[in-house]
Amino acid sequence: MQDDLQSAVGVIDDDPAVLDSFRFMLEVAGHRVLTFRSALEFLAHTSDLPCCLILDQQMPDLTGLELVARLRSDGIVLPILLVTAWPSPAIVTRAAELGIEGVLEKPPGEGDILSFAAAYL
Amino acid sequence: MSSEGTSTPPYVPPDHARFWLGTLTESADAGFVGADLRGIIITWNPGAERIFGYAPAEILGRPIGVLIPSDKQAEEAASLARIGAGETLRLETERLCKGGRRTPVSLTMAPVLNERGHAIGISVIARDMQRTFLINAENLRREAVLRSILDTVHEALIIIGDDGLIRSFSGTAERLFGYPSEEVIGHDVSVLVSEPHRERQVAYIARYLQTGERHIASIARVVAGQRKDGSTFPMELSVGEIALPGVRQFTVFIRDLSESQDRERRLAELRSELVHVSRLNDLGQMVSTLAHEVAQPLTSLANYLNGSRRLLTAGKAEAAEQALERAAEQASRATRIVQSLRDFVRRGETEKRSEDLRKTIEEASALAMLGIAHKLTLELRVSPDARQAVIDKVQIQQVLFNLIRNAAEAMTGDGMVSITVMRVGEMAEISVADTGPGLGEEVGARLFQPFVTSKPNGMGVGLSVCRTIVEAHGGQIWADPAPLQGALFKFTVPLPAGDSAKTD
Ligand SMILES: Nc1ncnc2c1ncn2[C@@H]1O[C@H](COP(=O)(O)OP(=O)(O)OP(=O)(O)O)[C@@H](O)[C@H]1O
Ligand SMILES: [Mg+2]
Repeated sequence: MQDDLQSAVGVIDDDPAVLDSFRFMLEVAGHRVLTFRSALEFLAHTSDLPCCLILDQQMPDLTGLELVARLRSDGIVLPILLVTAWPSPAIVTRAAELGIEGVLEKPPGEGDILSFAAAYL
Repeated sequence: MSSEGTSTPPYVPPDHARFWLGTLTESADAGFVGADLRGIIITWNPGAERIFGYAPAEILGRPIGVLIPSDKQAEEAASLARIGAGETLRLETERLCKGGRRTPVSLTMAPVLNERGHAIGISVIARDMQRTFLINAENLRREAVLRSILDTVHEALIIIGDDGLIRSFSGTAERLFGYPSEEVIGHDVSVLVSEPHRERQVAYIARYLQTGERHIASIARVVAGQRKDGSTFPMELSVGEIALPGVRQFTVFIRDLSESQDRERRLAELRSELVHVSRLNDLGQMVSTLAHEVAQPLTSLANYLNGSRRLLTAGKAEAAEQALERAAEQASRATRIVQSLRDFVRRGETEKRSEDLRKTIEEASALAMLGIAHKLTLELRVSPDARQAVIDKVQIQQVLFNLIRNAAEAMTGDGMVSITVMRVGEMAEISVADTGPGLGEEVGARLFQPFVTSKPNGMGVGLSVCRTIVEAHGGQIWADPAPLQGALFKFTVPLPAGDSAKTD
């Protein structure tokens, strides 16, 4: 168990292989990582938040953008990087409206992920 | 008012006022923030926490300046001076939330006075405008989109109430019917329908209005419309319902089928629809699903490889090995997706199944008869020993569509199209006969070659497409050289395997 959640990077994706690979890559780069299989699983944990969030857009139940809208209306603010296979103008616009730090196409570049994580630790 | 002095307000014990105020403050959606004269925050309600993100413990005792973006400092100083002078201010501005995000807010700022009327601090009521902004922007956008759609579509749009009276009449409708909107709004929709058919056609709309049968709305209907000058034209209606609480209105989109250009466009659309309708939808959806499906393993693959490279650089080969194994798994996952795509496309190429011929023909002729102005009778006879054939239904419907269309186009007055299906050996033979003038000399032997046409607007591709499709089914298509009357086209398609043993 991580004792200091404030210094962990959160990753939410419904695909277990994607989650596992993010954990591996970020841990090798020296980060603590918290992974969540769904937006709902993350919402159950908002009492102790990671310092920043890498978030998949296309998920069942609640999409990435829907989750962010929910967080914002609950007054929860943390830096977010949205990753999606299909960054349509609608998604990018909505992300900007919600004040999301960045939208990346899948597969995202290692540099973009690591500099995001480093910036918010 | 004279009665004002006589009514006494209900009595509230002075110490109870505190509880009322407390609950109001706690439950309000708006943020309530109090600061002393030095600008130090001393009250902070849950509303403020929702808007700005700070819990009370994080913000109480800190200067109010932490909420103010640097480019709003001057504005804030000016406001404070006015409040200091006893004024209450309302302003729309922006504030900083926890984490540095800016948010639009509407503020009411007032001086807090003690019992002697001296200012002891300021109170701020903050409302979050983020949602309001987004909703307003979204409404404006929708309106603009709707307006631009109505300007560009060729259909006229009429809105009618459930009493059949016209409520709205678009610009295109004005041009189409020749009525300015003020002359028809409030009148019964039947003024737009041609006299002799009025009863029947209005009955169609009425039935929709009464039963609200949704499926009728999705079927476009062709009826005769009547312009202000009395002239008539074929029009295609599609009716939709606007369901708002307490209001039942109907949108009627009207497409003018008389304009030759529009009619040609409609026919061209129908023709390509026949082939594409099913596949296009599949395709668009396929592409985005596929992008997502393939992006997943690629993301994992990239992550494993990038991490492994770091480990190898650090000399930790063993740890890298495991990750590389997982990377390889993800590569095969991507491969499997590409394989299943190939299978899908291959299947799409030959979509031949045993199909019901009567149903196939009925559907195609319904489409082919659309927008034909003169009266045509259609006759269909299917021999019981040739009910089914192994065909790509959409493609064979295209063949039927072209043949029926040609027959209809050849007959200028009333006429008849007879379609017969019978069994000839291992094949089903389908013939399409008409009562028109028959094939002209000039087309003769080159009938099935592309770009052979006798029509001013014809492309001459219809029959050549028919031949390509029929031959791809292993069948043949030809025109009977000496029919009793009109033109007679025949083509064959294979019967289901093993059907030859069956006799009826
Ligand atoms: N049922 C028919 N009766 C009389 N002539 C016909 C009939 N069917 C076809 N033809 C003649 O054969 C020609 C070629 O037909 P085809 O369907 O290939 O092209 P088209 O109808 O002229 O143009 P389009 O590309 O729009 O179908 C027609 O122009 C017409 O002269
Ligand atoms: Mg033709």
